[in-house]
Amino acid sequence: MMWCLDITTSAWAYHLETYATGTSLSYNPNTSVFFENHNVNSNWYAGFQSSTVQANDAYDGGYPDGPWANNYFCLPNYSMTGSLTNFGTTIWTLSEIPTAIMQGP
Amino acid sequence: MPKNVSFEVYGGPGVTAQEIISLAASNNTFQKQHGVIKLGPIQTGISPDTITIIPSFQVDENGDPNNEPYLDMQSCNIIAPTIIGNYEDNYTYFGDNVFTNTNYFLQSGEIYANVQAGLYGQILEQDVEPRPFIYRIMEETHMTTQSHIMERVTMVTKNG
Repeated sequence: MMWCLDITTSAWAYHLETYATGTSLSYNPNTSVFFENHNVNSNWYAGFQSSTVQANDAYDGGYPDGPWANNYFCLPNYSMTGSLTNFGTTIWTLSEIPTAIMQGP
Repeated sequence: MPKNVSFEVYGGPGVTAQEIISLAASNNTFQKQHGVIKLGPIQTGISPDTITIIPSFQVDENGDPNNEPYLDMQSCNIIAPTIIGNYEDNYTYFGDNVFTNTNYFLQSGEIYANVQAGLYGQILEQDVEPRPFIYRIMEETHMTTQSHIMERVTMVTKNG
């Protein structure tokens, strides 16, 4: 089960998935926080009200709930600042996130 | 990595570069074999502390999911800016992934996109697959348009 809270309306939205099983989360690359961009135009970020997105207060899913313990950056040459470790905050600068790469079918 | 996609990711605890590379290769194989996974409908209006679930671990229903001592909960606050224009020709997505010890994958997050004359798409999604699958392409049919805009999301992931 997964939830999102819309702070504009204070409403929760969720998906219930009956097939998922397990007793713990795995420490591997599948446990991650990410931003992906499918836009190809050069000014895709111009419509956002601020120039950054951020993540914070990350728990690692361990027991007891612990702070995020490791940072690994894919595409490390872009401007991601801060750290998620020890409940830190990281910031993505929208204009420096690469656009999608056009390829043939 | 599928075409027309760029992404940035914070790997989970203990992640190495080689793990990222090898997993990406396996995901490509998986996607070629199985394609995009469709999601079920989004539910709204029920908070996580009031819904009944039957997990294989203790359930704490004390309210704030960020503070609940779940054995296997990953949570993260993400704060994304409101989109106010029609500049995007596709979408951006901010989310988190988790992978359970029985090889199920779940994902949640928020999408920003211009759809239907400048309205905004948002999504809460989940994907469950019994194999590694670090991310996937979402289909436009999963976007919903709403008059309000989600600016901040608390993502809580549990398997249950």
